[in-house]
Amino acid sequence: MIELHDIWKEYQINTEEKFIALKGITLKVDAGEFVAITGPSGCGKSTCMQILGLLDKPTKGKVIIGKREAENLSDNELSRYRNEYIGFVFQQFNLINKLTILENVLVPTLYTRKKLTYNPKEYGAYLLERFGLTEKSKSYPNKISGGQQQRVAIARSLIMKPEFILADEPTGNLDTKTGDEIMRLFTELNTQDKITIVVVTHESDIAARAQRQIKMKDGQIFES
Amino acid sequence: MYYLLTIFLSGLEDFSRNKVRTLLTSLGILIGVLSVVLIIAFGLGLKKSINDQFESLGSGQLILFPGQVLSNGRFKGGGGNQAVTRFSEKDIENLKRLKELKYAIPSVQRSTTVIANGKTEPVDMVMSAADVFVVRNFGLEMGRFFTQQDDQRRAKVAVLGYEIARKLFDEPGNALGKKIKIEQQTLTVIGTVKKVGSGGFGGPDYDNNITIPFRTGYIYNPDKKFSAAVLVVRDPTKLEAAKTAITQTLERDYKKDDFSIVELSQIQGAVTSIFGILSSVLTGIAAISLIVGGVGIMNIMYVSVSERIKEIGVRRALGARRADILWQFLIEAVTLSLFGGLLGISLAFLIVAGVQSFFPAYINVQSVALALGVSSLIGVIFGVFPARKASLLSPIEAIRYE
Repeated sequence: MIELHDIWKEYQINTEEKFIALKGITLKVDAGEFVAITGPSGCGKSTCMQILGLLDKPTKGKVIIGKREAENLSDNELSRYRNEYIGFVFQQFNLINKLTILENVLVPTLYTRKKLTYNPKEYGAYLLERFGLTEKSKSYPNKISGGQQQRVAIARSLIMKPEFILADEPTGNLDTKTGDEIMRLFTELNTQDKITIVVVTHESDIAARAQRQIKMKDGQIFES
Repeated sequence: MYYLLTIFLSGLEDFSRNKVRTLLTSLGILIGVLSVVLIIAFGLGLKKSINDQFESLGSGQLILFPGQVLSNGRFKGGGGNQAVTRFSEKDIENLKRLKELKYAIPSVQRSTTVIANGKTEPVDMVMSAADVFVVRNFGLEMGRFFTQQDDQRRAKVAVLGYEIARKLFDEPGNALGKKIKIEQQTLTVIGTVKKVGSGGFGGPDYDNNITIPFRTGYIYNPDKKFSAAVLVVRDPTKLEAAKTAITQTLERDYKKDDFSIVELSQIQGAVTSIFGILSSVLTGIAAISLIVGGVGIMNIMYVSVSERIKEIGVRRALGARRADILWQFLIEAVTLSLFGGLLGISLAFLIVAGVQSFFPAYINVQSVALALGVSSLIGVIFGVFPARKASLLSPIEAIRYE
């Protein structure tokens, strides 16, 4: 469970002007949900996801992850939460180009302090097999298609067996058909693997695939 | 452990991707380490060669100089006032009579030129007694050394050092019986000395000397005075007693300040300390190039951090802590400078092996440890600033960075 409570986020543009990206957001994502946060560009949905993913801190308000308030967590603990509980999928895929596909999938396991109950390499290989990427495991990111890169990113988000996957415009750089496959994958992960999924998107047909839609406009939620 | 290994390997991979850049960056460290190790190696070689020369002269030797050569055990500038007092044949005879002394050998040296076999060579001519060959441990290559009789007869004979014989007659063996001309006087070569193999740096270059009997030398030295005498003590453990006896003998004719008796070990110590100072100054100068190399590494690490800000952000999002990022860049910087350091040391080994045939330079463990320690320290020091910059970025700012 992740909860945002009266979250405000302000960006200082210059000494006099500031931009208010979030104006008192309150929302709750329960375990096992598949939620889409949607709205036009600039509505604050990405900022909202970054705060949900503990990548950024709000100017004001409470973020509750599990039972703890994120404000009280040190930088190292935030890193640990991101590592163990949250899987990220980005619009730009954000794979590390000099690492092979399998090495990319394994990056989160480098940084964990948790004793893993499974062999990460075997599990990584299994995830790649599941997503039809076994043949590419020794390839490099710039040698494979966008759809394949996004599936690698999803495999990477799953390697730590997280509770949540946060995806920021995961289909934004893909064609409709490939985007559709990615969304099917999220649905499968949600129903079969019981992973909580939050997708941020501006496309209404993508958002429609989620169980619940949170609609945002001008830094506020107007429908959830 | 696995994590450090992975980071290390990923750093290496980054280098192989930027071969030219890596090599150029390491070049700074390479040159610095190379010069430090080489200067230390040559300094050690010099010290060894000086010590070897002194040791070949044997113990229990004293050298008599005119004037005050040493003050407080160190050499005075200017080399004493040789113009005031020079020793006569009578002084030497007086010293020879002392029971404490085994040998008292007069010596005067003259830098001149020798003409022979159609060639002209600069040479140091030593005018001394027959015993000098024994005292200096010279071996005979060809012919014979001159004798006391040669000296008494003022025979126009000369004994050639190995190198000068080779220079004049191509083969030292060819010199035997040949005539050489020094300052209009013709001398006959009666022997050549085996290669001594010293000289060049500081010590006397015996291989390039021509030795003639001192009385024959009166042609060149008409006032019959000597600028030094080599005194060999009968019992090396009674050096002080011998010095007292010598002083008493000389004080009959000279004032106390007119002469000095120097132990070989004093000269050795003074020469070694001069070269010690020289080589530490040179090492210090070479160390500056290590710092310059370090700045090069810092520059490259800054570029590397800026190029990879997005990657840093991604790693942070996936759970890397600040310390993890710091470590990654630090290991890369240290690897880079150690790489340069190791290349520098290898090159130094090659160069030292190359010069070994004519100069006894050698690399000791300390200088290798120093060079490696300094180069990895440079990696840490100059890597830590860029690495800190990288680790302090907030993950989301870093990911958004283009």
